[in-house]
Amino acid sequence: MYYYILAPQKGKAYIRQEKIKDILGDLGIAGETVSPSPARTIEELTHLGVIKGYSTIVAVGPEGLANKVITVLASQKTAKNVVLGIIPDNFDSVIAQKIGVKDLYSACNALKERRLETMDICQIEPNKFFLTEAIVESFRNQEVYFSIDNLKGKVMVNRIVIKPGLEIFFHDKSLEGSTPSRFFRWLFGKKQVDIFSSNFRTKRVRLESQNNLPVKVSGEIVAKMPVTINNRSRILKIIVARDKIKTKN
Amino acid sequence: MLGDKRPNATGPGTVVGANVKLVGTLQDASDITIHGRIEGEVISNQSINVTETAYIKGPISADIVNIAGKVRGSITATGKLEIMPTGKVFGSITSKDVSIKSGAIFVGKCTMPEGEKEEAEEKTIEETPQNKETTYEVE
Repeated sequence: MYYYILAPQKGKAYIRQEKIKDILGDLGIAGETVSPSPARTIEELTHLGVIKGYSTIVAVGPEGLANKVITVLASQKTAKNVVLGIIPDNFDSVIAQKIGVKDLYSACNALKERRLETMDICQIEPNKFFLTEAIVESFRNQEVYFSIDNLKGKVMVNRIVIKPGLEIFFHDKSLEGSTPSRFFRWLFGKKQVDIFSSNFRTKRVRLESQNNLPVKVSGEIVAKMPVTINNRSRILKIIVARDKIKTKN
Repeated sequence: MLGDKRPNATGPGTVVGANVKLVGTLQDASDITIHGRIEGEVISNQSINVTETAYIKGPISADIVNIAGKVRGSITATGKLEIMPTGKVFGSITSKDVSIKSGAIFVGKCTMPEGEKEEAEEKTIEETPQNKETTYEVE
């Protein structure tokens, strides 16, 4: 049985949601639909779905909604066998690419065909989970200290991206040179090798900075430095498109 | 992947940017590219590429090692070791296939473990069986 959590929508988006309900009805996979409100948060609705014994909880809406549902599913032992379905509202998003859906029909069809894939997710200690990516950004570059296994490092960055798997990208844009120098490089076709980006893969990372830089997931601040992020390997069952090109995660 | 000992890792591997300083052991099953500064051991199952801006103080061990930066420590390459014209190596190197380009600086001991090459040479040149290693010293 399917339990759909729909992001509250108005206007055009509301019409889209009605269209989704129609498609799901036509495919014979209609189920209980709920929407968050000031009285019931997404987390509470997800928890309710788990208590009611639904085997599939579907997040219909933006990445933030899916990540909140994932947080509940990953942190509750009773939700271990619950499968997550996602109907994203943006099919160019990271989450849409991850599950391999291209449009509304393919997303709904994927739910019906129910091809499962166990994916890695990231945990921001103590209790935030995400499937997409976490971003730490600052206008000016900052000194960030990090520790990975038995490795300690210091880096000047203005952007850190953390992806499930646990891939960490550090980038310092200010070291790329001034705008005129970049323009002239572009004008004369001179390609500069990017030596200011770093890329690590690990199972656990701790990030610290002098300023408590915010960690954002889907544009929402979920934590502030210092943070410890773990990779939770293959703990979440997600419905993916049948024709999805198999990726590592 | 750091700490990951899976033999057939794929993906871009680890890249240490020019603005990064690391202390400790950097280990990855796939390729490692270093533009920054590392104090500690660097280990890879595949290749390690030390670029012009890099400085490593510690031992390096990989299948293929390419040095264009500065290294203070021993280097062990099971496959090939190449020191580029901009490369500076202060320490012993061990590899069965060594290439030191003109302009490179190498101060240390070079050990070339002999394998099949030695067997082929043995047919033509008589050698004492105890000498299984050829040692070169350049200072």
